[in-house]
Amino acid sequence: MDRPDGRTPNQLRPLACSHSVLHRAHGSATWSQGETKLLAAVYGPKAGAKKNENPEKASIEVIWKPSTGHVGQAEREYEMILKKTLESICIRTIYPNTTTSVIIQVVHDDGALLPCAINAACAALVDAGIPLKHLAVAICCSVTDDNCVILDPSKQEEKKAKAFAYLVFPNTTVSVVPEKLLQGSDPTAHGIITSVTHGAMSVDNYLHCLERGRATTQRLSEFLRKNIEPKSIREASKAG
Amino acid sequence: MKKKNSKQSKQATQPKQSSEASQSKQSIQSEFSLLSIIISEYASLQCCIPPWRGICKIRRDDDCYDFAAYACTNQLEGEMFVEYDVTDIEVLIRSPSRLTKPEPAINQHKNKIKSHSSKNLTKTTEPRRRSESRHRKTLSSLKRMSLPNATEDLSSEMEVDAFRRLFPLRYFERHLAESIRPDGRPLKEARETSIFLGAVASANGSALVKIGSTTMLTAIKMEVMTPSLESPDEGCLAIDFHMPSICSPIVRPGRPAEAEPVLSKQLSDTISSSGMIDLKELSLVGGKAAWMAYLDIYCLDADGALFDAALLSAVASLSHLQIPAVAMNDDGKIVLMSEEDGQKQTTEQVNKEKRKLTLKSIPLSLTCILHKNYILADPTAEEESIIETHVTIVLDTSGQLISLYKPGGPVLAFTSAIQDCVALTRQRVKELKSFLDQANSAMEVE
Repeated sequence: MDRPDGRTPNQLRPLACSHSVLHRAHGSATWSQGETKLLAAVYGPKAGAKKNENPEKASIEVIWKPSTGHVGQAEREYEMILKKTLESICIRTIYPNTTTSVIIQVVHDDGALLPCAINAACAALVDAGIPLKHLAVAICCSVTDDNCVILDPSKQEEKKAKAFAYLVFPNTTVSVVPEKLLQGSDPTAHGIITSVTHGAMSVDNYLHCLERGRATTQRLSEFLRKNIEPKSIREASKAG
Repeated sequence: MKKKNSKQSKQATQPKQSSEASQSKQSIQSEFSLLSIIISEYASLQCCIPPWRGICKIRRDDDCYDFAAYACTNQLEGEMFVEYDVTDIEVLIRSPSRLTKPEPAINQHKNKIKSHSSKNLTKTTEPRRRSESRHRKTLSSLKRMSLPNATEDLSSEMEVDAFRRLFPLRYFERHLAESIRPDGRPLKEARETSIFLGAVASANGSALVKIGSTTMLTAIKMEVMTPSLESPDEGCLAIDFHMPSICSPIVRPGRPAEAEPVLSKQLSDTISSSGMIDLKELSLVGGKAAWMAYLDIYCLDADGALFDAALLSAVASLSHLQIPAVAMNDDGKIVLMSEEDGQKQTTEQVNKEKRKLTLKSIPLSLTCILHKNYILADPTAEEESIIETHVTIVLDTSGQLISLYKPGGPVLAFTSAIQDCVALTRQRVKELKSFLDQANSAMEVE
């Protein structure tokens, strides 16, 4: 299976993540996978919940800024998916009746936009110190015409693909609590938080995507973990 | 209250049943009465005196308290019938004074209010349709009024409505433990579904779909347009989903609902990825003219599983769609052809005959909610508000997975749960397909 950029089917594009890039925001991060790059900023928690939101829980609002053009249906859908995904990883009972704003700015789109946005938002939430249950790692799997699954497709590959799925997994707790490794793998790592698919594929193909996506989450969460760590350690040493 | 009582006794003293029935019929018809209750009371069970009948009209909640007081003071016994078009609702009222008296059988302490289908009671009043919520409210207040004097088993029954409002999740879980849902369905059963094609006469294709009380009206309007340069031999399908403020208390007038653009996008993604419609079929003259199909879905009642109902109505209206016959006139313009024109202007180049679209594989969907280890198919709005984890699966009739949509939610979907949901969807797709075929064949017969 040849890919235009010479990657193997399971190979991700080079990852890059930097945090605290905006100093007015409470938390911010950039995330890039190959040419795709996004900037996420977090403000809050601010007092008061929006209309139609449950005031007994902390709510999250997501504002999606496309690199060019107006906000359309696609952006509204992204906002909704991101909002629900982030709400499911936040501990929402801690700051009831507050709103946390997450602003996503697309810098460059070269495929797998939504998974990158979820990763960026997750890094920014950690940077802002919003209490989270666990991290979320997102990955895009695409199915080619000959039913091969390739990970992290570029825009060109996405267009050619028969179908693709955006999958979000909780990060493997192995990278957070190493002791757990001894007790066997943690079952939460196997569930999916979010799944969005485009195009027609067989159910088996989808399950195959799940399996392959799940296998990559460990690498992704290790990367995320490594990038988040320095700041928290730095702050801890400053405080001490 | 006194007034009520005197009214009761006046009616009670009516000797003849038939005259009384006709009188009550008139009085009920003249006033708007929400609920009328016919009491067939046995004054005393021991001496078996033939029953007298009294009629109590309940129009407001306050009337219920009056009725309760009346029931208590008169020490009612026996059965009470609530005249209403629903069945299986039973309200128990106990008269406190009777409760204190030692009597052998428990049944003798009870005043049963049974709800009968109105056909049993046609002799007194005309059957009337009333909103179920009002009905429930009235009944619940009926329940409440005898609460202070109730015993434990009764009090647990009385508080149901309050419990439901205060602890929706626990109320729901109590049902789940019994493998039943608040509306009486088994966990994995979808609501009753109906499809009515051709609901909008002025549209080229239309459908009205109901899943439970979720109602969607879809209409397609065809217009001729110039195709874009990128795809000169393709038509276009524009899908728009509307949620007017009548559909749900959450939607405020003047402000579009958040779900509107999201559902529009989801629907157009689903229909385009399923490859149900070949857009080339909508082409008229390559590069010059093509059909633009405006598919508008209106949500008339939003009671959960909006996507399922919207997709079904979109698919149904597409299967009902008749592309109008058009002809090209001398100036090269496309004009609509009426029936007579077709025969008259044979010299003109006729582009198309009135025809239907060929639909390849039809995408149909099922929404499930996940809660702990439970999977519930086709949730109502109430269930959707309590449980936040939704999974929508779209399969086409050939079994391909078109979409598996799970936007977040506190419950993680494991592979086994996904497989269960897919199996449920398979079943549902078959069922929906047969409904759709039935509706289509019914249209053809007409």
